[in-house]
Amino acid sequence: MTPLPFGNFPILIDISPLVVGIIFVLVGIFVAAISVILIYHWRRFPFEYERFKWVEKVYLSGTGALLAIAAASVIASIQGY
Amino acid sequence: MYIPLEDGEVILTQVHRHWWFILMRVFGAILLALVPVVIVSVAVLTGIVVFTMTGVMAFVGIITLWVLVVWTFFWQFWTTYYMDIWVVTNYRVIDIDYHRLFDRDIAILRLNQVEDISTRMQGILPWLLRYGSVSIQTAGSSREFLIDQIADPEGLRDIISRAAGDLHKK
Repeated sequence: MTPLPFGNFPILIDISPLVVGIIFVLVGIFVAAISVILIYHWRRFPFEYERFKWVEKVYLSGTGALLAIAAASVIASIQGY
Repeated sequence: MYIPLEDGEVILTQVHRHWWFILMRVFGAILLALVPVVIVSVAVLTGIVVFTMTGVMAFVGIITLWVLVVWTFFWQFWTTYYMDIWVVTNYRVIDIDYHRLFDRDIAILRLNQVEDISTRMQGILPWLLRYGSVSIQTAGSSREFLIDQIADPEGLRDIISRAAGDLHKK
């Protein structure tokens, strides 16, 4: 690799699956806590209840899909080692 | 339900802040979600960084978690936006003000106290998007009841004015 005046490139990036796993757990706890708070507020709101049922479905579907993609990536990175 | 309706009370309309304010949040959330993807993509395409195979999978996981955090914060913003609501009934105007989660302010104005209603649309954007404020002057009090940043303030003024007129006739 040719040393450049401002450093050696390209920089090889290898992220430890353990680090990703820890981030996944922390974000999972954070999202679970926020989800409980949001759903608590939506269910207690006295107006437009039907609309909030729909919002709850959209929110939970999106959150579930993102968590599934993240989990699959974490598992794949662990298996790659 | 923390605001029970009275006997014979009917909801005439429910008004939220103008959609423009949540649209700005949507754009902000999309930008925030895309920033790390764009930065890393540029770094990879220009050859500054190279990922190992496991590094790619881990990176996809981290980016997805980042998008998840942005997604969660967006819904928190949406909740405070959407729960900021003004409910006009045939007896009252109820102002539920959500500053943030666990910080709520409820004000109730009886329509028989209404003396004067005025609307204001100030600026180019409010004129183009038709949003503004409605202020209600009440009898026996110097307090002004202000409903800000709502769509079609003149329509709301007419509804309140008509409901207050009907109540005075009874």
